[in-house]
Amino acid sequence: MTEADLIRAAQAGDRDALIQLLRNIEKSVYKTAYYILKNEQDAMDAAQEALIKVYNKIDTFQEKAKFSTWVQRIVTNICIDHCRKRKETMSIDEHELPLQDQTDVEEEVQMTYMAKDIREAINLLPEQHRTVVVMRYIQDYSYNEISEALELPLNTVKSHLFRARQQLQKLLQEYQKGGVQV
Amino acid sequence: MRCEEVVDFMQRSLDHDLSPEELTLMEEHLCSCSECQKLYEDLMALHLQLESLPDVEPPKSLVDAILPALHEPKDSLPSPSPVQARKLNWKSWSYWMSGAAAIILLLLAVPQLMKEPELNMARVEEKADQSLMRSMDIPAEQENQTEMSVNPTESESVNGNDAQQGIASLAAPEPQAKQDPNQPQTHETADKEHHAVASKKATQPPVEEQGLPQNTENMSMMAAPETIPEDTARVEEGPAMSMLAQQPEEKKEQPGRELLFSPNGTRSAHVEGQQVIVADLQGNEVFRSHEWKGTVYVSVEWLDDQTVLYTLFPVNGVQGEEGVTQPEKWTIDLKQGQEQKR
Repeated sequence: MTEADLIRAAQAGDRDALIQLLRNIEKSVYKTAYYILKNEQDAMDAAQEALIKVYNKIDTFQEKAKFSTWVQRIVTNICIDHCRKRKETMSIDEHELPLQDQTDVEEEVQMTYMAKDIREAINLLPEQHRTVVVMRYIQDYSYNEISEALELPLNTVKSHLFRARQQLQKLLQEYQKGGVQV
Repeated sequence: MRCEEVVDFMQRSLDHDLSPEELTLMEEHLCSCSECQKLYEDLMALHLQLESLPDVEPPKSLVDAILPALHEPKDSLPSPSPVQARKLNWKSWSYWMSGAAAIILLLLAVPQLMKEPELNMARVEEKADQSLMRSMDIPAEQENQTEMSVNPTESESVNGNDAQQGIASLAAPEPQAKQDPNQPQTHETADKEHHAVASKKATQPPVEEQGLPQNTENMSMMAAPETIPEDTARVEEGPAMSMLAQQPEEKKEQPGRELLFSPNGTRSAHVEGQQVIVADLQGNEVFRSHEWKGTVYVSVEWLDDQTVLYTLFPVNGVQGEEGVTQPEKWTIDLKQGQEQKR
């Protein structure tokens, strides 16, 4: 059965088809959660939550959207909620990045933090930029697909992605300037 | 072509967003501008690093982990919708039964209500259904003793008639609220939960064999030391007390049957012996509370996905027992992996 067939069957009440759909998407859901949330346990929780939501909401999916981007929207929203809750409870003493999505964010990143590798650098990005990077490089999405998945205007997607790359470059360069090779 | 424009082209080129003409323009500029060429090389290196990020996979199948929950009817699955909404959906049949019972009780209680003009009608309706549900299965004399043990100061209001007794006892002021005026809502909730314990026992169908998680948002249950013998004097005190004695035995048969799921459905909490246990969907224990002493009612509630609030209400009828003497509120912070007394 193709994905479209599975979706139609699932929407018609075929549980096996729905479970099969969940199996097909679980890895991509987990990957997104893992790269946004930065750790395995949180990623497992968020991915499971996303799968349950897909299970509950399959009836509301409309074929005019792409199924994978619809799923990614669900998981990214859940991850962003997790990030926000985490920020609310985060102590200022904890070694996390207290970043806001603001204009001078690159400078703030550059001055405060150094990343020794690309994954660490991604973790230091503001959540919106990190999410766009994950869609682009982990899910291999085009601008349009990212726009659909994150419900962002196309120009915003480009802007976030370009700024994210600039920030990543600065983060990595800063570390190299410190005399340690990546 | 200006360098700022070329930077934008560079970025777009990484995403295959340039037309052939734009690509030619960019390349021409790069040939003539070493600074931009260096920038492009750095950007390309970063791009390649991003493209080669390792593929990650979940350590175990996520679908298999949530399958038990998915076997529940779809409507009763944990949903990420607001907590309050889910509370209303919980076991709608019990609400219908409660409603029907409330109507019958009100019909029976009209004479009594006429004698108590200051009764808060809304409150009576809310609680009386639970009393009636108990009265359907529980002998009247035992019922009286239950009320006495839970709310000793209400004993003056207790009459022989079940329905009237329910109304009269509800009309009495809550003694615990007097003791601790800072937490009136909590005690009211506690009182409801005390009643709910009995009504749940009397009306709920048996839990299915496979021990599937029930979609409870909020639960209360009684926990007693596993060493309480069935034939102690406590058993004679009333149905609540006898359930206290039976509880450990039931648990051995169906461990963890009272599961309370977190709002996102990925964690469950239950009472085991003298502790609250939090587990993930695979049943792996995530947190175990301290072990309390004495016989208590336990109310467990998820405040959010990472926080469990449980309240220990001492059972006043059990005299001379060590342990919890005042209602205690404990918060489990799963993020921190610790609990704290409020």
